Amino acid sequence: MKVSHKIWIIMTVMLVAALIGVVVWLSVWLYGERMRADNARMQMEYVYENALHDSLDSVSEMENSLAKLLVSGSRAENMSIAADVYKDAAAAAEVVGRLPVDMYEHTGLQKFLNQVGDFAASYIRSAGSGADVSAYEEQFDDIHSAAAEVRRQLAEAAGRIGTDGYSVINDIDAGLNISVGVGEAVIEYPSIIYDGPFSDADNESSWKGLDGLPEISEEQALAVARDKLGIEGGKIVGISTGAAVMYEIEGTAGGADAYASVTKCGGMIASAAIGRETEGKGRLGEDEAAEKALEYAEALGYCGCLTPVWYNESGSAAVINLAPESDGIIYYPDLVKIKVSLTDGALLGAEACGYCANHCERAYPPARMTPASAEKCVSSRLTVTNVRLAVIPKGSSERLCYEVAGTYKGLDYFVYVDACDGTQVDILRVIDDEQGKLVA
Amino acid sequence: MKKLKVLCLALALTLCFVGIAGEAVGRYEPGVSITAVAANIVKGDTAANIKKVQQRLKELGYYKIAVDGIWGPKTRAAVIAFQRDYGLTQDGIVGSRTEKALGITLSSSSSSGATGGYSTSDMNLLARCVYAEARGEPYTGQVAVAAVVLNRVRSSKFPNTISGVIYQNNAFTCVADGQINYTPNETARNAARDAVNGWDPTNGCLYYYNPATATSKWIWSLKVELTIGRHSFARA
Repeated sequence: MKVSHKIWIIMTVMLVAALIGVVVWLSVWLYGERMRADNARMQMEYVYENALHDSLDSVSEMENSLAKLLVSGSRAENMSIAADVYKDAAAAAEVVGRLPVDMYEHTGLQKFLNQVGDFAASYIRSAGSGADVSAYEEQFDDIHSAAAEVRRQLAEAAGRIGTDGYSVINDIDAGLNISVGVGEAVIEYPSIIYDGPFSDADNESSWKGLDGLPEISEEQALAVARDKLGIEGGKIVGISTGAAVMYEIEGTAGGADAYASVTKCGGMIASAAIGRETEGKGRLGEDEAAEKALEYAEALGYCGCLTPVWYNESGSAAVINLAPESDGIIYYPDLVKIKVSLTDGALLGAEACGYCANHCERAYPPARMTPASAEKCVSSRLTVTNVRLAVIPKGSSERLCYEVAGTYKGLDYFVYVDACDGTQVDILRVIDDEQGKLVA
Repeated sequence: MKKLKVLCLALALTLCFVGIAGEAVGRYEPGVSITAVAANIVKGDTAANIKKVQQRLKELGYYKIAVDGIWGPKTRAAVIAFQRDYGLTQDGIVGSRTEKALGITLSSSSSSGATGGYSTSDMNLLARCVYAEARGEPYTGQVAVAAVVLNRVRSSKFPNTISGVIYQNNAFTCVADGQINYTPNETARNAARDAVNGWDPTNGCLYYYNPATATSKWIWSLKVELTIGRHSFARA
């Protein structure tokens, strides 16, 4: 046997062995990958099943509490049951958002749960203040029926789990949507008695600040953006509806992207932003920035004795909140926010939807309470630092309050006390951090 | 002898293949874990910062591969080697001392505090969503995307948290295709912050879509309120 022949055999054996090795190694690896994929799939299935069970639990509890409300006669007991409704509705709304259902088809379910929670909270506030709550109580029956229907459908969906190898993920793979309940809430809420954050009242109200002002054309809106904000080459990219009709304008200012929303009524700048980079170390101090903000606000046409009420620095820009002040009263609903570059003091943006919507002459009866008596209405734990009159937004209306600023255990608070009857309307807590002061 | 050569070549190719396959498998890591590790190692955790470190280490001869802005074992090894030579603690972390020794300045991640009632992680998530959904769009378009997320948080029809809205099933394509895990740039962060501060170019819109790519029939039925860049915005 020749030497080269021997080598040939050895090489063939090695090659075959190497190939077998590769095949075995790949098989083992692929098997491992498959196991990991199956395991991940199973864990995901459990997450979905868990979400479905949790949704059903919360909705069942909510429906149960609503059923009790139907027969409960005592106001104190009603408030306690409504607190359970609020808690369970919030939990259900949170977990329903995690279900693998088509969000476009289930916005109604989310809305129903959010509004039930909101309704319960609103009821508790009204009942607690001693107001007439019969308008709420008339709604209990309808809300309970709707909740019972949601529960029935959720129970049906959850009931399929664990039967005939049913898998939520298989349904999703097959392009099927699991059905978990009503697409639309079947009840109508009376917005007059219910104005929580999720009420529809906000969408319906018009901007009274623009009442009686003349309508402007697209060309006039472009001229406003050019003259007041220096937006060149502006074009209308849309006309947005909603509470106020606005021309949406896009262009450039000083070489940067810029946009402005100009109201059709009155041609006010409701909001604007100039996307200029603000690199570099800030030079402007808080007072200088606030002064700049006041100048810009006046130039943009927001008149009415504006005064800085908040200062928030982030990066090399600052946002200064301005509110009108007249006769010692601060009008928070009419807020104007001006964003100023701290590098060179340039205007970076304005947001004045609050101002455009609400700014008008108001006639509040003089405050019955004195600042000293308002101070007595807040917790004795607070060390009061300042008391002043302020109009604050509350739901879809406004209230004249004393703003009592104070500290407790190193934390800053603002407590709002009704200027006529001394009831506590709102508490805000301030978070101090390196970027400035923010209201939470 | 010709056969021998062919066989040798075949064997070499086989071994090469095993090597490449092995390396490919060994390198397989989900993108998430890369960013998660990087977040602990470089101040500010942005790709730009990592690039700066890699570039400087390359100039100094510690880092030999491509400057890609991804924190991997090679980058870490280069940092440790640099720290050893400069008498620094060899922890692979670019802290202020290493930063100084390298002679570079890293920009800190700017949203280190809460803004408008939202936490830092909320702000990061919002910025990631803006970057993944609208990078390359005009600045206004980026603020608008962030504003739509916040409008949904405030709407009764959607979950009540930023994370609930962003991770909602089928809500954003960037979540479905994993782009949500990209590191956002400063523009996206600014856009997110402006939206949290109350800027809303969409005037309350809850939906947007790209007419060139949208597949949902339902979304086409919505009335378009305005168009910014490639996105059409609709109220409901």
